[in-house]
Amino acid sequence: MANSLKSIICTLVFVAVAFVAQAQKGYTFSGRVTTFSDDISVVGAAVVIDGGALWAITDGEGNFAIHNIASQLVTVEVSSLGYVAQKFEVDLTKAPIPYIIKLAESNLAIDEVVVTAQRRTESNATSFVVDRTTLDHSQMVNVSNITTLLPGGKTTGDQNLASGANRIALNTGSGSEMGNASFGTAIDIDGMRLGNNAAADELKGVDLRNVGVSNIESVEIVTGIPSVEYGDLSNGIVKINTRKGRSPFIIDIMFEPKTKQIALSKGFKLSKKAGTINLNAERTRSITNLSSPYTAYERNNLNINYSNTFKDHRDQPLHFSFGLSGNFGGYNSKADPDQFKDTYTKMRDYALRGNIKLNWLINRSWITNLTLQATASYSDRTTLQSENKNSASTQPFIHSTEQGYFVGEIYDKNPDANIILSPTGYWYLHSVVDTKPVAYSLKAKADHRTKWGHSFNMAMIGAELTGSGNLGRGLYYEDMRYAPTWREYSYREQPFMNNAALFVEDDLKLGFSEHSSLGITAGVRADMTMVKNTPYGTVASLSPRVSARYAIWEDAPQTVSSLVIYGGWGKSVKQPSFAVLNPRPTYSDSLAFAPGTTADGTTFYAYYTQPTTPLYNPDLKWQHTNQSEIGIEATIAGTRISLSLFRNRTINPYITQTIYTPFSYKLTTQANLEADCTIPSANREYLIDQKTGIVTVRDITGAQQPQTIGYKERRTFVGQTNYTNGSPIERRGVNLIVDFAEIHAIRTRIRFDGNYYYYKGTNQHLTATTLGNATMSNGDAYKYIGYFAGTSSVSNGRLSREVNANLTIITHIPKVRMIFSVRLESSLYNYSQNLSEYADGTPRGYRLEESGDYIGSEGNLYNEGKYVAVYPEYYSTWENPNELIPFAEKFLWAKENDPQLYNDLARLVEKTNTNYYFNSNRTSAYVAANFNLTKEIGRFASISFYARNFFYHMGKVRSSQTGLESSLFDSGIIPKFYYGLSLKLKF
Amino acid sequence: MKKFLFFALAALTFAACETDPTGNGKEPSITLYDVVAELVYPAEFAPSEGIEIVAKNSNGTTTTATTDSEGKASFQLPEGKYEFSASDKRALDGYSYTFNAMVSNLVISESTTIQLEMTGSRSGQILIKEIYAGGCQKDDGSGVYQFDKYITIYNNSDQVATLNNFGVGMANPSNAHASNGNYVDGVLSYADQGFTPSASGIWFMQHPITLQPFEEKVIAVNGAINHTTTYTNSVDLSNADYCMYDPEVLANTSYYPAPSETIAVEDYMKVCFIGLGNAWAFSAICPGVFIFNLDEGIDPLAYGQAEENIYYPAGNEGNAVYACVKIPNEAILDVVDIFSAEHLDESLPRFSNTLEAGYTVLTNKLGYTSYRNVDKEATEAIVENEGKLVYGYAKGTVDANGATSTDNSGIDAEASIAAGAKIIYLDTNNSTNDFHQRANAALRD
Repeated sequence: MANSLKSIICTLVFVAVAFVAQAQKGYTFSGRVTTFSDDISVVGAAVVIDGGALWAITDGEGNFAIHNIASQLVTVEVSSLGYVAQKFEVDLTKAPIPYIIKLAESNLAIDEVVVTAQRRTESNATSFVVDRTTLDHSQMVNVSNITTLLPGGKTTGDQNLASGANRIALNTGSGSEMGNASFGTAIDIDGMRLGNNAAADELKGVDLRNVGVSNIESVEIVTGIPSVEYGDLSNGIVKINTRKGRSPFIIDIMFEPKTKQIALSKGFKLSKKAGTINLNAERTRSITNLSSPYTAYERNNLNINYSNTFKDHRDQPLHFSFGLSGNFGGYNSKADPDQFKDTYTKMRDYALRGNIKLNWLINRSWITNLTLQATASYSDRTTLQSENKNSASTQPFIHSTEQGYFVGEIYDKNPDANIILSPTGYWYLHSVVDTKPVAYSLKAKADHRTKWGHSFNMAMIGAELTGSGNLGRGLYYEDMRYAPTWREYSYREQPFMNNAALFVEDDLKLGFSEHSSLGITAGVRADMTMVKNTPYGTVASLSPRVSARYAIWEDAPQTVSSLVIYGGWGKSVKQPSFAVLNPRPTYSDSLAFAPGTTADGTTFYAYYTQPTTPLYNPDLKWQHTNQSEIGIEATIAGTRISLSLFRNRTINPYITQTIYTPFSYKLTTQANLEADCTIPSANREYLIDQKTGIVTVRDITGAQQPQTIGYKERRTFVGQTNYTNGSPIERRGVNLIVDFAEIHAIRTRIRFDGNYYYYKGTNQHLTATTLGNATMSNGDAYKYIGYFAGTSSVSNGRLSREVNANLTIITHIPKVRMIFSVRLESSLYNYSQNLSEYADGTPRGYRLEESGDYIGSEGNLYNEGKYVAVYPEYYSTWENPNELIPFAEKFLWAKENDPQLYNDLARLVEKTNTNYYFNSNRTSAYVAANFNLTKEIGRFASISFYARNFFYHMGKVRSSQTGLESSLFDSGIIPKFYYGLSLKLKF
Repeated sequence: MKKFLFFALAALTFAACETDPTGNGKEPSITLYDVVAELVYPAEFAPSEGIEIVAKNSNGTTTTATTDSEGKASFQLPEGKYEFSASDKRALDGYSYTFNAMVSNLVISESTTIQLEMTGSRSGQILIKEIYAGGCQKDDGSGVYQFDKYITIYNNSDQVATLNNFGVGMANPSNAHASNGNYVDGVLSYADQGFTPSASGIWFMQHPITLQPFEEKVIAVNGAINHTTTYTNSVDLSNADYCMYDPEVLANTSYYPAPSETIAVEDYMKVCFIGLGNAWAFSAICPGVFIFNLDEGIDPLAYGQAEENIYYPAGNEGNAVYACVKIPNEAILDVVDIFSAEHLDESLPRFSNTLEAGYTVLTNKLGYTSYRNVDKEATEAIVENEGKLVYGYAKGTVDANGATSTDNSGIDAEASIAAGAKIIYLDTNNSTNDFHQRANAALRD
C-alpha cells in the first residue's frame, strides 16, 4: 500500500515537471506591498488571486508578480503577519503597474478590531476563526481554552497548566459522555497532526499543555463537515497556524496568580533571497498551590519557522517552509518542601516536531498547485516517581510470566526469582513510565483551479501516509529488589499503526451573478489502516463528504445585504489508538500458600499465576461519525446573524470489555500446614511444585524427611480486558451568533451567542461482570458471571440537553487604542436524565416498592420516584461459562425454590442508591460575568487585564432531581474569581 | 449492660416438727422446725449447688445453709419471723447474670418448705476494653502507620465466659463525621429496628471461645505480626490471641500479612465480606466498633450474605460500597462509638441509645488508644485486690481541643493487672463515661 502511494506521488510530480515548459498566456498582476503608514516594504506577504488559484509571495523588496492570469477581473487577498488583511477586486486591464498595496498595521488604532471567534463565512462547513488579537485580549495561556470562545462557550477560571492534562473536545457537552469526543477531535499545527494515537494508557485527546499560545497567529475550529483532506477524526478539527514571516521583536509577559509567562518573538529577513525566519521562545510556569509554589508545570517552547519563495524558470513561485518546534518541561514536584524527603513525581513533557512544506504554483492547464508536506514528531512523556515505602513484613513482589506456582524468594538469594520477597523496614521505590510517542506523515496534494465569469472550480487529489507508534519501554523499575508486582510491557515492541489515504475533492462554485452563487464541495477519502503482526491486518474505510453553500445574495447594497444557506453530510473515521489496538497480556495471581510470618517478619508467600495472551478483537471496527448540518447566515442592516444546526451520530465508539475465563488452583492454607507438617518452623524450607501446586516442606537440618502438605481446590476467573465497539451515540445542536451592528455613538458592539445541545448515549453491548474476591454463602469463591445489556450498573446511558447563552458587550475606542469587553455567560437550561433502557427504548430495569426489595414491577422507570433494580440479561457459571442462562427467570424461581442460589444471584443485581436516581435533573439557570481590557500605549506597548467571575457570584442553583440547592461558590459550575495581567512590548 | 429483671411471686408453705423436751423438765423446751428453702431460677438456668441461703431472724440471729444439687438448703429454725435471702452469679453467652432472692417477714411456726424466686439482672460480661485504631508515627518521619490496629475484649466478671458464635462488626459510616445516610429527618433510622448494621460485613470466630474471669483477648484487626521491628512506635501483635485473616476473601498482604506463626490457625477469624475491595476498611480515624454473639447454630457466612440481612444506608441503596450486615441488637455484647477529635462537631452517633448513650474521642496518628475506665468502687471491693492496685494513673491525654481525657478512678489498670489485681471496668453503656484516650496502646506497657 505504501509503495502504491509513493508511485502516485512520484507520478504527480513527474507529470507536473514534464509540463512546466509549456507556456501559458494571460494577464499579469504585479506590484508592491508596503506599510500603510510609512511605505516600508512588507516582505513575505501573500498575494492570492481568486481564493488560491494563483498566488505570489512578496520578495525582499515587497514586490510580487503573478503571471498567466486568465480572467480580467480578479479577487485579490493580501495578508501578512501583523497587518490587517485586505480583500479587493481588480480589473487587470486597468490596474496600474506597479500596483501598490498598502497594509495597515494590526492594532487597536484601526476601526475594525475583532476580539471574538468569527464564523468563517466563506466556508461550506461551520467553522470559526480566532485571530491573534482575540488571543491577546483573552490572555489565553492554554490553547484548549479556545473552545470557550465558541457559541455558548463557558470561560474557565484558572488556566493553570499544573492541574492536569488540557485537551479539546468539539461537538460535545458539559457532562460526561460516551463516544470519546476528545480522542475524536483532531488538532493540527501548521498541517502537522498532534495525535494521541500512540498513547498506551488512555483513550483521550492529546494533552496540549506543551503547545505555546504566544506563537499562535490564528486558530480555525471546524465543527462542521471538514474537507476530505483531513482524516483520522470524528469530532471536528482545530487547525492552529503559528507565526511565520517577518515580525517585530515582541516581548509578551503575562501574570496570573498561579501562572507566569514570558515570550519573546522576532521574525526577520535573513538576506535578500534567503527567506525569512521567525523565532519564538516562551516560558510558562504554573504552580499547583499558591502557598507552596514549588510543585509546578513548566513549558519552555522554542519555535522556528523558516520560509522562502523561489521562482521556477517560468517565474512561478515555489514556496518552501520549514518549521521546527520543541518543548522542554513538564510537571515536577521534586523541589516541593511539603513532600517527604526524596519523594517526587516528575513528568517530562518534551516534544520535538518538524514539518517541511512545499507549495508550487505550477499553473498549467491541468494542474494549478502542487503541495508536498512531511511532518514528524517525537515526544517524551516519561514519568519518574520516587516513593517512600515501608513494611513490617515481607510482601510478595510477583514477576512471574509463566503459568504455575511460585514461592517467594529473598532477592539476595535469587534476584531473578518469579516472586521476590520485599524487604522489611524502609526504602525508596523508583519507577519509570517510559512513553515516547512518535508520529510521521507524508502528504502530496494537487489541485486544479478554473474560473469562468463568477464561477469557480477546484479539483483536488491527494495522498497521505501516516504512522504512529511508541518507542517507550513502558513501566519499569530501577532496582528489581524493590519492584512490586509487575510485568514488563514494552511499548516499543508493539507494532506501529500506519495509514495510507487517498482523497479526491471537487469544490465547485457557480456564480449566478455578482452577488449570488452556489457552491458545492464533494469528496471522498479512502483510508487503509495497517497494523502488522496483529489479527487486524489491513482495515479499509471510506469517508465520503459533501457540502453546499447557496448565497442567495451576498454583499448586496440593501438592508438584508447577505443571505446564505449551507449544509452538508459527511462521514469521518477515527482510527484506533495504541491502547485500543494492543490489549495487554493479563496475569491473575492467586495466593496459593501463606505460611505464618516468622519473628523477623518474613513470610514465604506462594502464588499461582494464570497468564493470558493478549486478547485481540478481530471484530473491532473503526469508530466513525456521520455528520450532517445545515446553516443560515444573514446580514441585516449591519447585524450579522449565523445559525447552524448539526446532527452527529457516532457509530461503533471504542469501549472496553472484560472477558472472564474460569480456572482453578490449589490453595494450601495454614491449617493444612499445621495438620501435615511436624518440622519446626525454624527448620522449614517451603517448596511448591510449579506445575502441581503441591507444597512440600523440607527440613533444612535433615532431621526429618520432606513432608507433603495438603490443599484445597479454589475455582475463580481471570479477566481480560480489550476494546470493542459500543452502541451509537447521538448528538444534535444549534449554534447561534448575532453580531449587532456597532452603536457608533459609543463605539460599542454587542454580540449574542448561544447554543442548544442534545446528547443521548446508551450502551447495549453485552457486558460481563463478576464479584471479584467475593465468596458465596457456602464459602466458595463466587462462581457466577453476569451479562448486562450495556454496563454492569443501574444506568446504561444518559440523555442531556442544555441551552447556553452569552452576551458580550465590546467597546472599542481607536483614538485611545483601547478595547473593553464584558461577557455575561449564562446557562439557561441544563437537563440530564440517567437512562436504563434497551435499544428500542423499553425499560431495562424493575421498579421497586421498597428500597430493600429485589423483585419489582415492570414499567416506566423515569420520574417515578422509585428505587430500581437492574438484572443481568444472563448469567453463567464457572462450570459452564458458555451457557448463558436467562437471569430474571432463574432468579424468580430461586427465590421460591433455592434460597442459596437466590442469595448468590441477588449479588449480581444492580440497584439504584436512591429513589430519585432516575428522576430527570434540571439545574436552574445561572450566570457569570467576566471582563477583558486591552490598552495600547503607543505603538510599542499594550497592556491587558482580565477578571473572571468578577461579581464573585455567591448564588445558588437548584437540582430538580434532588430538590436541593447548592452554592455556585467554589462549585466548578462557574469559574472561580480569577484575574490576569499581561504586558506586550513591540520593537 | 442491659438488665433483665425476672419477677415472680414467692409461695410459702410451712412445715414444722416439734422437738422432744430434754426430759429433765428444768428448762423450757425450744421447738425447732425443719425448713427447706428452694431456689427457683429462670428456665434456662439450672439450680446450683453450694449457694448460701441466709435466714435472718427478727431478733438479729442469722442461720445459713448451702444448697444441694437441686438448689435446696435445709434449716432447723425456731419459731419466729424471718428474712430469707440468697445470691448467685452466673454467666451465659457473654453476659453476667446476678440472681437475688429475698423473702421478708416470713413467720416460721411449723416445718415447711419455702421457694425463693431468684430474680436475675444481666450485665455485660464481655466488654471491649481497648480499641487501638489511630496508628502511630513512622520512624523515618514519612507519616503514619495504621496497619497495626487491634481490639481487646475482656471478661469483666468473676465468671467464665463462653461465646459460641463470637463476631466483630463496625458501624456505618466508617467515620462518624462522614456523610451519614442512616439519618432520616434527624433520626437514626435503625434505632428502633432492633438491629445494628455492620459495614461491609462481619468477622467471626470459627469456634467457641472461652474467657476466664478477668481474662482478656487481643484481636489483631490487621497485621498479626510484630510491627515494632519496623515501626518502633507501633505494637507487637505477633502474640495476639485472635486475628482477622481470611486470605481466600481478602488477600491484601499489606493490610493482612500472614499472621505470626505463633498464632494458631483456629484462632484466625473469618470474614463475611459484602463490600468492595480487598480489605475490610476499619476506620483509622474513628470507628464505631461492636462485638456480638450470634445464636448458636447460625452460620455467620450464610447469615451475612442472605438478602434479607443486607442493609444499605439511605441514598446508597444497592451500592456495594455501603452494604452492611444487619446484626440483631439482642446479640450485641458491647459497642463503642469513637468520634474524631478533629471532627467532633460533624460527628453523629452510629448506635441506638440503648446500646451506646455517648461516645469517646480519639486523636489519631499519635499512638493514642481508646481505653476503658476502671470501676473504682467495684474493683476496690474485691478483697483479693488489696495491696495490688496501682494508683496514680498518668496515661491520660489532652485531645486536639484541649480537653483532658483520663481515667478518673486514678487506678492504673494495666499496672494493677501486672501486679495481680482483678480489674472491673466501668460499664454504663455510655462511652463518654466509660472510656478515655490513653497515651499509648496497652500492649506497649
